[in-house]
Amino acid sequence: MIIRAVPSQVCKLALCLCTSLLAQDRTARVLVWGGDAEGGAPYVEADPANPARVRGFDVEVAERIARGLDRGTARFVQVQWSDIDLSVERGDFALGLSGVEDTPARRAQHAVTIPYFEFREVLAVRPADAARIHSLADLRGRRVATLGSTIAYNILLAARDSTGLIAISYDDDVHPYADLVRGRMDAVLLDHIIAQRALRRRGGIGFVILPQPVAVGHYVGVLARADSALRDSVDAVLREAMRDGSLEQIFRRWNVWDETQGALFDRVLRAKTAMAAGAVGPAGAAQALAYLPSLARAAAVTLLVSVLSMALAVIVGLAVASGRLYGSVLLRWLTTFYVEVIRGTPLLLQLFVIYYGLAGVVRLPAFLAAILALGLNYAAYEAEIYRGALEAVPRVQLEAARTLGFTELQILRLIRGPQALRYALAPMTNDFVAMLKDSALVSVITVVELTKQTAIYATNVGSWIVPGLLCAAVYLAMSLPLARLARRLEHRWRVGAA
Amino acid sequence: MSSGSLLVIDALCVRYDARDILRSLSLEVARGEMVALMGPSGVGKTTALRAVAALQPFDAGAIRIDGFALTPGPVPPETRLVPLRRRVGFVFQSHALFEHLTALDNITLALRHVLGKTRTEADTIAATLLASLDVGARAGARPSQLSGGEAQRVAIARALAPDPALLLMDEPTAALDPARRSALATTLRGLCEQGRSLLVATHDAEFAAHANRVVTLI
Repeated sequence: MIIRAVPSQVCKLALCLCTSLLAQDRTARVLVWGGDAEGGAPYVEADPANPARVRGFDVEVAERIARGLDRGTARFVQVQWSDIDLSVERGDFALGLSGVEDTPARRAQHAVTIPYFEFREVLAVRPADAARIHSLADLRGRRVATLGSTIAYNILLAARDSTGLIAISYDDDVHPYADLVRGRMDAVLLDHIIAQRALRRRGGIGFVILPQPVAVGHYVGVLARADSALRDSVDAVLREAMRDGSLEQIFRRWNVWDETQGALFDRVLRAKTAMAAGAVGPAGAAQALAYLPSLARAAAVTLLVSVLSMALAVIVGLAVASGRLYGSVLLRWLTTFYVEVIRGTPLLLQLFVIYYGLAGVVRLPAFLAAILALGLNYAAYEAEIYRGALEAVPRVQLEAARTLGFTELQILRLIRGPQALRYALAPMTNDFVAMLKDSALVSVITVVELTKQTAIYATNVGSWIVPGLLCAAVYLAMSLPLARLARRLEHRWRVGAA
Repeated sequence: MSSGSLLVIDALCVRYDARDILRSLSLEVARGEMVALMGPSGVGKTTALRAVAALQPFDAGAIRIDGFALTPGPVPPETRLVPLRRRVGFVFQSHALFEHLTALDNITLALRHVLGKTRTEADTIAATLLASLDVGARAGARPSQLSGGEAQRVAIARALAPDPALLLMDEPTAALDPARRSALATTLRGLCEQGRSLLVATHDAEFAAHANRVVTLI
């Protein structure tokens, strides 16, 4: 039995070893890199001729690096732009490229390559404003948009304190320019490549790009902190590509080459150490303290959005519930239709429709659109809670009121409503706590609330642990007292009824 | 029909699901008279009271209360029932006090919001009624804190507060002990002596003996 067992174990071991070696070989010959095709050309975009493939200058840079590393091919992995750093540390891919900016925080957290492209942070304004806006200093009290978690956003945050402009963060780089043209924003600060692309898409009209850059930054590749050896190899390939002109050819093919790139290549080839540029964020233990004020502001926004939305939801919910119980056939049908449509479609879709969809008819400010979308969405759920609660009031109570001569409206206001409130209180509290969390969705229409601010914080420090814990603590601090108050009210009413 | 009757029920018929709940009930209640409506369970005593209070429709016959006529068919909207509501009070078997209000507020609510009395006037009327029914000390209690007898007397006080000419009572002694039944009978006799008419549905023969007349449904 022992004699038979030993060869069996050896075979298994050999099989595992072979499989493992084959896998390693397969992996070693392919450079797996991550980027965000949603960012679009000229960085990375789905190839119109074959949407299963990607194209763009970052795609070609990745392929050049793969060849230089003797890996033959580069395999693309789609990842959300703001999550590139976290994904590369998780090991989802070896190299992150997609207009990844060179920042001190990124260099402190990850293995970062030498810069391979120099971009300029440029301001875009409406043509009518071009004569009087020349820099951030001219934007006091004005709304300036950019992409969240970027150098540009950090520049705007710094300028907010020094010049008093209003920094607005977006999740994408398309809508800031659309909102600039619509008049919702007064300026957009973003990379010159993005600004030029947006202008081309609009046929060169709608806004102008100011010639004087606000800042200069660089694109780099990012690798896991433990992959510094691979990073050094990638750096060597990038230097070689700068020397042999292949990197210049890539940039020229994508029309992003200019004289500043040649100057960058010269500096990089001369320098031994990497160069981090752009906004410098706080480091170490001071980070948490530095972010606390912005988290507190964002928490206040969350609370304000939730309270105002809930107030709207209660008012509309009461009206809808009353319509369903007391209205004519037509009103009952309309209110039922409202409830079913709102409950049957995603809140995210409703946010987009109210903010972007209605923009052609009415240009709602983001904050108002957020309250409208959240309030009207929750009104459908509140209406059903109130309808159920009103129907739960015993019929004999209503009959007793009728024999005393109350009108139907008085019965609703003085007898049925107050009694129904007791039944509705627990689910209403539940809804409000849910709304505190659902309000995070409004960040898609540029309202920076707690979760969004935490995501920005987490991206900047390269970790979700401290920001996540802080964020959770703030949410709990807001929701727990509310739940406690509701329990106390329920208890008081129960004692009163016992 | 007597012209001096406050309530006249003439050949009242109520059907439900093709079943006759009430078949041709006729009775009259004179001013200051207490009439007990007796009969086995399900015979239609409560239905008759509910029809008189316009809480449910009836299919045939006629009801007239102090000149106000109810006719067969759906219950009229409340806006057309205002004269009836001023004339008729109703005490439910389950007393149906408003659970979210104190005993005092149960009584003052209609006085203030239906009859337009001031808070002070309403409080005075309510306190007097509660005291006369021996529950003055329970004015601040909520219905769930009252005993069955106390709740019943608060419900009577609530029904009496708007000063109706006719009081309809559904099984008023169901939750009372014998001593309380006797006390309630004395109270109700006192109301009749003040000129009020009472139509009381009851199973309680001893209690019914206090009435001027007993009408038995079969």
